[in-house]
Amino acid sequence: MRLIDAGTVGALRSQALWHGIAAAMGPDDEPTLSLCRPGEAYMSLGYHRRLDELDQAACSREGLPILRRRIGGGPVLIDDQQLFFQITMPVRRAPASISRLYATLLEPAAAAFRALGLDARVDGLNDIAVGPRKISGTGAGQIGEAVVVVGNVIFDFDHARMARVLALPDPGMHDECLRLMRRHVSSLRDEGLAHVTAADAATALRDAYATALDGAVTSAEPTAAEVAEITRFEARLRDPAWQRGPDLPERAGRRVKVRSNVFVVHGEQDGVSVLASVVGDDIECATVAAPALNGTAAALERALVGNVVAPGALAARLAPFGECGGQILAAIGPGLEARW
Amino acid sequence: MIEIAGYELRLDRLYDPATHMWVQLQEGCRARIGLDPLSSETSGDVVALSLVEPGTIVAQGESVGDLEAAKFVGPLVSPVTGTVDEVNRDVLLEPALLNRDPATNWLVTVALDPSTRHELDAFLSGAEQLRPWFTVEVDRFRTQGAIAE
Repeated sequence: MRLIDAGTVGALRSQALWHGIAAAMGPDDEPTLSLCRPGEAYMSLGYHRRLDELDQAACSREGLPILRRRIGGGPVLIDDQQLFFQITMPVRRAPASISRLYATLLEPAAAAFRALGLDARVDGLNDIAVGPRKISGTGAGQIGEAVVVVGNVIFDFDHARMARVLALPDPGMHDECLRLMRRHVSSLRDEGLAHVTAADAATALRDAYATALDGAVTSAEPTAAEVAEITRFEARLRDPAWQRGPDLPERAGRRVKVRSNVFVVHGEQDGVSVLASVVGDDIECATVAAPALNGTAAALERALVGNVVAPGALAARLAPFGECGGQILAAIGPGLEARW
Repeated sequence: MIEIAGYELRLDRLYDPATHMWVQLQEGCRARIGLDPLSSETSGDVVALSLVEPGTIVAQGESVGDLEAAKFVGPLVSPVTGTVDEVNRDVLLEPALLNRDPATNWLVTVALDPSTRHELDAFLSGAEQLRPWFTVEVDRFRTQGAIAE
C-alpha cells in the first residue's frame, strides 16, 4: 500500500488530492491511502445535491466557499479540525457491490478509531459510529479506473456553524437540525479524546489499512501523473459549471439527513406546514402549523409521533383526523419516503 | 422472458457481459440502454441519477451519466457508441424505478454510429446464450458477496 500524506493543505487541494489520485490510478496500481488536513474551512457538497440546499449568502458571510465533490452525500462543513483519509484502489480489485465495498474499506477506519480509544464500529451501511453518534463522515465513488472511499477524523465540530449555512424553510427546522446534529454527530473532543493529535490519527489509520490490505506501507509523494490530475481537478472543482452540478429535478419538501436513519423533514400542503424529526423507525417529535386547524394541531403533532416504517402505520394514526390527516400525510410524505 | 436464479431477463434485447447493461434495438438504428438485474441489485438503493444531455456523443465504455446509491457515485457506462438522442426523464425524477423495474426503466436512447455496429456482436441474446452466462455471473457475484445467497 502506498501512503501519501499531504499534510495541511488548502481547501481546493484537500478535495483535488484524492480526485486526482483516483483519476491517475491504473488497473494494476497498488492501493493508496492518502491523508490531508484542510487548512481552511469550506462547505463540501455531494455530487448529486442541489446547490440551493445551502444558504449561499450565509456561506459567504461565514467565509465558506462551496466545493462539489464527485462522491455522494449531502452538504458537510469542513474545517481545520478534521483529518481526511481516502483509500483508493483499482476497480477490479474492489468489492463488486457497494455494501461490500463499505464493509471492507471502512472497517480499517473503525479499527483505527478503536486504536485511538473509541468503541467505534461501522454502523449501517457506511457510518462509523460510537454508540448512537456518528464519529466520521464517509462517502465513495468511482473516478476513472479507481474506486475511492473517503472519510474524516473529526477532532472537533462546529454544529452551530454547520446548521447556520443550510437553506431551510423555517427557523424551527434549523433548531431541530442543530439539536439532532449535537446529539448524533460527535467528535474526538466530545468523546473525551481532545488529546489525540492529527499525527496520532494518521498513524492509527496507516497501521489499520496496512493490516487490512496485507501489505507493507510505502510512503510516497504523488507521481507526475497524479500531480497532473490533481492540478486538473483543482481547475475543475472551481469551475462554476462544476459547482452548479448536474441538472437535477427539484424535490418536494425538504429533508436534512443528520446520520444514517436520523433526519429532519419539512413539507407543506394546502397551507399546512409540518416539521418532523425521525430517529430510527420513529418520528420522535413533530410540529404542525396551519391557521385553519383551529386547535387540532397539538393532537396532530401527538399522532405523528411513532413508527413511520411499518406500512400504513402513520396513515392509520392520522386517519381519525379525516381531511386534515390527509393533508398532513401529503405534506410530509415525500420527505419521509425520500431515500437520499 | 426467462428466469435465471431468481432474476428475470427479457428476451427482446441484447445483454452486454462487460457492463451488465441491456441494449434494446429500436427503429432507425437506435438503441435503448438500461441496467440488467444484477447491475440494479449490486447498485443498492439508487437515490440520485444524472444523465448526459441529448446530443452528447459517447463511445463504448464512456459514461452516459452517474448513479448514486448509499453515498457512492459511479458512472453509467455506455455499452455502445453513438449519439444520445433521448434521456428518460422518469428515472431522473424517480431513480428508485431502476431498482423496482430495471427492465422497463431505460436510461438513454442512443443513435448508433453505423461504423461501430460490430460492437453489438459481443452482446448476448436468446435463452441459449443468456442462461449459461447469467448463471455463472450470479454465482460469481454470490461468491464475492456482492449479492445475497
